[in-house]
Amino acid sequence: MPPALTSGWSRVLQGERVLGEADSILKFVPYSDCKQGCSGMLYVTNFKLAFLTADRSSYDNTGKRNRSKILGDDDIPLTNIDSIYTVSLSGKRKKMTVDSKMPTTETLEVHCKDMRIVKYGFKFAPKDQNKKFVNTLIHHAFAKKDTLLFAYEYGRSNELKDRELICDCPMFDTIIDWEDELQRCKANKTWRVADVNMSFDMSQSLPRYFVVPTALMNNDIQKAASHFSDRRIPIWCYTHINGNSLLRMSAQDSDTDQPREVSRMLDAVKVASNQRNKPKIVKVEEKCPSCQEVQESFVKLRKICMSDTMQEFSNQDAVWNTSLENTRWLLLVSRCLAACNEVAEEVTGGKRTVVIQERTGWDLSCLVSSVSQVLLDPHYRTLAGFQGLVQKEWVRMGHPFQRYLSLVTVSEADTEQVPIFLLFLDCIWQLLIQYPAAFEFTETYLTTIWDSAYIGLFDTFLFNNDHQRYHFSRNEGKNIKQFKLPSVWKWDFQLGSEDFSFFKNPLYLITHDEELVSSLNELQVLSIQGMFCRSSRNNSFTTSLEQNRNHSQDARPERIDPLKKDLLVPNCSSLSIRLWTQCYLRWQSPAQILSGGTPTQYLQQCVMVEEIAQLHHKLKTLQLRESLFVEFRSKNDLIVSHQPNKSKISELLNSTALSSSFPFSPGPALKEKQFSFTPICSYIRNSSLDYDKYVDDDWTGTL
Amino acid sequence: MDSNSISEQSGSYPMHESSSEKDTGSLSKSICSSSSSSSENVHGHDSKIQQVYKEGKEDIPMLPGENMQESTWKDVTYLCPFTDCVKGTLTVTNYKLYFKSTERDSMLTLDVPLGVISRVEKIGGTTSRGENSYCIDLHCKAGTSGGLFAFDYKEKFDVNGWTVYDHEAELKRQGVPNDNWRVSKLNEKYDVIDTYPSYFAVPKQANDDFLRQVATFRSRGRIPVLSWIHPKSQATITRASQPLVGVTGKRNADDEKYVHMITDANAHSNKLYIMDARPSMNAVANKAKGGGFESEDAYNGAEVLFLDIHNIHVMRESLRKLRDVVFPTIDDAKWLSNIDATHWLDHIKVILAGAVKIADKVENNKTSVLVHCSDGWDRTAQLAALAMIMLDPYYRTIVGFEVLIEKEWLAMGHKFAQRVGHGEDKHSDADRSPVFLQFIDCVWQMTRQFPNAFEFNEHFLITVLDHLYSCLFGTFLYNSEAQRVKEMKVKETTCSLWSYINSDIDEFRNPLYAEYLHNHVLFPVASMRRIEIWTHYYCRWNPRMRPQEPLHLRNRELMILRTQLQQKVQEMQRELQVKNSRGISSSVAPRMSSPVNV
Repeated sequence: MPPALTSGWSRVLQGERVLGEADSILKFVPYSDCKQGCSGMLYVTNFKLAFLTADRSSYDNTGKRNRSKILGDDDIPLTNIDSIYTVSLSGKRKKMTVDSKMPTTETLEVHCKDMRIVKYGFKFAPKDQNKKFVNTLIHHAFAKKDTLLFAYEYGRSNELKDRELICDCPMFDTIIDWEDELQRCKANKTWRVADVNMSFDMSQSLPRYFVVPTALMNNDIQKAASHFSDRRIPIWCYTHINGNSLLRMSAQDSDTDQPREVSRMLDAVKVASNQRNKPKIVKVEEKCPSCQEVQESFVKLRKICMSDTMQEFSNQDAVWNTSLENTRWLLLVSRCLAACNEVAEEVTGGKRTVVIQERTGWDLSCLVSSVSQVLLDPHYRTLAGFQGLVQKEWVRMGHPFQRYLSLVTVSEADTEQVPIFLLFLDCIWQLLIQYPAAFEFTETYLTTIWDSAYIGLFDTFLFNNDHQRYHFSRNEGKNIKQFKLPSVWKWDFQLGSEDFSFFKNPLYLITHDEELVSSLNELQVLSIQGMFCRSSRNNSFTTSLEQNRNHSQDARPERIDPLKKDLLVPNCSSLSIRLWTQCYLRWQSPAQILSGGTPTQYLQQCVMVEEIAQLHHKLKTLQLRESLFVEFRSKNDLIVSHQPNKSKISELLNSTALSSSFPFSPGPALKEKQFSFTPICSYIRNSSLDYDKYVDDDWTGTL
Repeated sequence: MDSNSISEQSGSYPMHESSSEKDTGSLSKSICSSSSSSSENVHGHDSKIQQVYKEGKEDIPMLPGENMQESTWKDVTYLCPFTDCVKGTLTVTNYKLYFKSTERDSMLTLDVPLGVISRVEKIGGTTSRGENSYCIDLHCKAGTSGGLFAFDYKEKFDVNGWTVYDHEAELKRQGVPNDNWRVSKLNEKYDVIDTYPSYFAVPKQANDDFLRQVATFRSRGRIPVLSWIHPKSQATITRASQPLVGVTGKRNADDEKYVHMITDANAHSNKLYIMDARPSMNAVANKAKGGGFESEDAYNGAEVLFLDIHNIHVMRESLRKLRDVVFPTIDDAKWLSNIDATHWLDHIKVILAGAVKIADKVENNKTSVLVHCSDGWDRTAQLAALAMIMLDPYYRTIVGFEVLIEKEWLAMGHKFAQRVGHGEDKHSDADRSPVFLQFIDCVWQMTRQFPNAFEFNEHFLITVLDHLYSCLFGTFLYNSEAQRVKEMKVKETTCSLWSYINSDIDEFRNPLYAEYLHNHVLFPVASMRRIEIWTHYYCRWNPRMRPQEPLHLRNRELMILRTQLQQKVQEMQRELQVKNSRGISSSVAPRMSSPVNV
C-alpha cells in the first residue's frame, strides 16, 4: 500500500488493495479540450480507480470537501465504469479486454454509468507503467463473475458491527416485517405470511417469505405454482384502506386452459379481498414499454447527456429538443406513469383488487406495483416508507439488479444496462415535481440512490434475487458467518449528517409536522389546510374549466371522498413530463447554472421553513410564559442545525458559489477562477435565521 | 335552422366559473374572470381587477367607466376548442367581449378585452345551412386613440404608477451626472430626435451642438446615449441606431469622435465593443438602404461583434408557428420536435447569449459596450434591458423592473402601438412583432434559472403581458414618449399599469426572493438544456396544462404563514410590553424598545 493511500485524506476500505499505479498523470478539466488539468497519481484498486492530486494543499482548502465517506471526489468505483477508451497514435479505441499489443496510450477516457466522462493524460507517465496500468484497469473493471466483485471480499473482511447494519426501514427479509406491513394495511385477517419458499425449493426468484391469502395452504401453493412461470404465483403487495389489494404474478405457462389450481388461487384472492368482483388482471406488457425499449431509449439518452467538448455540446444543443424526443425516454416515463395511474384508479375508483401480471414478474411489474403504491398511500412518500417499498417490490421480488446494472460482464456482447430502476426513480421524480409538498424526500435523495446502485458495495443492489444473495455469502457451501454488506439505506455509511439533511423536503416538513400544524391551528393563525384551499382558488388564473368544476364541488372539504383524499393523480401529458436535469445533466458543466438552479430554490425553502418554525416557537413561548424572554430553539428541532455567525455571511457568499449541480459536482471551471463549493447548510447557518439569538444575547447581558 | 356561434379561430380562450369568487378572503383580490384570444399575441389577459364593481345588466361584471355598446345577443353558441359547444349570451362593451353560458350545468364565462382580439373572421352567412355555420361578424374597436378604453377607465388606485419612473432620479441612482457623464436636455421638446426621451445622459465632453452633428449620421438621429454605468469600474452600456454608412462606406468625423468619447469615459479600458444585434449578413445588407455598421478602421479602439439576432419578421413568423403548435391541440408524441421546429427557443437562446456577452464584457473585462441594431428600438432594447437585469440587482425588484421597462422600452421609443397593433385593424400588419413578449420570455427564463434572484413572480410577468394587449392602462399605448406625453397626455388621462400592480404588490412577489444571496451579477446559461417553453403562458388555457400542486403556491403559502406569524409575534410582544410596564413598576424596565428585526 503506497503511503498516499493510507494517509488520512483518502479513504481505503477493508480488503482494498492497490493493483496498479501510474505517476505523472494529468486529470483533464472537463470541456477543456484536454488543455487544462491537474497532475497527480492514478491508482487502480480492487474497488476503484483513484486519482490523487500532486498538490495536496488543495485538499486543505476549506471549500473543498468530499461528499462521500467511502469515495473521494476523484474516485470512480470499478462497478461504475461503463466503458474505457484509449487514445493513441492509431486513434481512439474502445477496450473491453486486455491487449498485450496495445500501442502506448496518450489519453485514457473513462465513461461512467452515471454519465460522467473522465479523461486522463498519460503523456508524462513513465513508459513502462503505461500499458501495464491500462491493461490492469481493463482487466479488473469488467468482472466476469460475481465472486470477482470487490463486495465479495469486502463482505468477508469488513469490520461492520451488527448494529451498524440496522436500518430504520423494514427490509422484508423476516416474517415480522411482512406481518407488520400486513398489520399496517389492516390486512392481517385475510392474508398470511407463507414460508413455503424457505429454502428456495419452490422458486429461485421469489424471496423466502411472501404473503398469500390465508385460505391457501402451503400445499395448495405448491400444487398451483407449477402453472406459473418460475413459479411466481399471485403474491400480495398492498391493501388499500378500502380493502382492495394489489398483487403481482408471472404469466401462466399455458394460457389455453386455466387449471383448477390457478383459478382456486384467484378465487382465494377474491375472498381475501372480500369482494364480489373477480380481481382485475393488468398485463404489464400491454401498458408498459418492454425491457428492450427501455434499454434502447437509455442508450440514446446517455448519448445526448454525455459530451466532453464544447463543440459536441453546442452541436447537441442545436437539436436538443428533437434529440430528446427521439430518445423516447420521456414518453416511456409518461407511459409508465399512465399505467400506474390506471392501477391506482382501478383500486380506488373501480374498487377492485388488481393483480399485476408480467411474463417474468420481475421487470416492469416492479415499477408498476411500487409507483402505484406511492400514488395510493402517503406512507410510501416518507423516507422510511419509500425505502421499505424498494425493499418489498424490487429487492425481495427478485429484480435482477446485478444483470440490469451490468455489475458483472458475462459476455462482451451483453454489456448494456436495462435501467428499469432508473425509470422508476424518474417516475417518482415527476411526481415530486407535480406534488412538491407530498414527499418527505428531495430529488437529491433520488439521484443519490441511483448513484449508490453503481458503487457496488450495497447488499441492496448487488444481486439478481434473494437466492443468489443467500448463496453469495456461503462460499462453496461453507457458511461464513461474518459475511456482512451494508444496505444502501444505511445512509451514514456513505454520507455525513449534513448531506443526509439534503434529503429532507422542507415543504413536506411544514405541512406534515403534526405538532406544528395543530399548534398553528390553535394559535388561530391560518391553518395550513385552509391556506391550501384558499390559494388554489385564488389561482383561478391558471385554472381550467375542469378544475373549476372540481373546485365548486370541493368548496366544502367534507365533500372530498376520504378514501381518495390521499391519492396522487399524475399528469402524464408531454407538457408536464420533464427531463430530470439534476440526474442527467449534472456533469455537463456548460449547462450548469452558477448561483442558480434548484439548489438555490431548495435553500430558500429551508430558510423560510426554519424561520416559520422559529417564529412559531417564539409565539408559543410568549403565550406560555408571558414574558418577553425567548430562548433560542434547541438545535435538534431544526432541519439543518446551525451555529449563528452573522459576521461571516457576506464573506462566505462572495467567496463561494452554489451551482445547479449541487451537491454532485463543483461549479463550472471558469477561466482562471475555480469556484470552491460550499454546502447548503453553510448558507443556512449564515442566513437571517438567527435574529432571535441577538435579542437573547442582549437579554442575557442585562439580566 | 341557423344559430349564431362564436368561432374562436385562434389564440386562447378562458374558462372560468364565476360564482363563489366573492368569498376568497382577504389574502388577495379575487381573481375574477380571465380571457383572451389573439392570433398575433397568442395570449390573453387577466382581468382580475374586475372585482365586484357595479353589476351591469344581466350580471355582467363591469369596470368603472365601462358601458354596454349594443344589446345582448341571446342563444349564441361558443365553439370551445376543448369541450363541447356551449350556449349562452354574448355582450359587447367598450372594453370587452363577454359571453356567459346559459346552460344549467356549465358555469362558463368568456371574457375577452377587445384590445386582445387580433382578428375577427366571419364564417358563413345568414343563409348557410346547418348548425354553427354562421359566425358573428365583430369589429375590433378602438380605431382611433380616443376610442381606446384606457381613456374611459375610471378606476382609482392608492398608488400613482406614473411616478414610478423619473429620468433624473434613475440617472442619479446610477451616479450620473458625474465626472464623465452629463444629462442633456437637447431633446426637451422632442424636436431633435422624435423617438427619444426628453432627457438622456451623454459623455460630458459632448455639448449639445456637437450632439446635433452626430445625430445626422445615425438612423433617425438616434445617437448613442447612456443606458447603464457600472458603479465601480465606470464601464457603460450605451445604445443607438445604426450609423448611416451606406454602400459607399461613408465616414463621419463627429460620430467617430463621439464614440471615442464613450470609450474615453471609462478609465479601465481603451477599448469599446460595438455589439451589433443583427446577423452580419443583415448588417451588410442594410448598407444598401443607407445604413450599416461601424468599420473598425474608422472607429479607433472599437471591436464590432454581431449577435445574430433575426429581425421582427422572422420573430413574428416563429411565434405564428409556436401558436399553431400549442393551440388548440397539442400533439403529445411530437411536442418537443414541434417546439424545435418553431425556432422560438432558438431565438430566445440567441438573445440571452447576446445579453450575456454584453454583461460579461462590462463586468469581467471592465470594457464599455455600445449596442445597436438597425433602428435601435427592438433588438437593442431587448439586449440592453436584459444585460442590465444581469448586471444590476435593482432591476430584479418589482419597482426596478418597472423602471427598466419605462426607461429602456417606453422612453427609448420601442414602438409598442405598432408592434402590438393597438388601434390598427390590419392583423397581418408587417410592423407587428412579438419583440416585447420575447423580452419578457427571456426574463422568465432567467427567473427559472435563478429562482430566488427576482422579487417578482411569474404572475407579474404574465400580468405585464396581459395588459400589453388589454388597452386597460395607458402604459403601453403609442409609439414614443413624445406621443404619450406631449400629444396624448396619457399620464393625466389614463391609469398606469404600475398603479394597479403596486397597489397590490404582495400578489406579485416571489416568495423565494433572497436579496442577500443575489446581490451580484447573474449569468444565465444560454443553452437549450436550460431554456424551456413557457407553458404557463403559452399553453395556459389548455385544460391538460395545470400541475396539481404547483410549487409556487406552496412557496407562497410559506411566505403568508411567515408574515402572519411575524405579525402575531409583534402583537404579542406589544401586549406584553404594555402589561409589564403597567405591572410591577419596580422591576427592570422592559427593554424591547428596539424594534424586533424580523
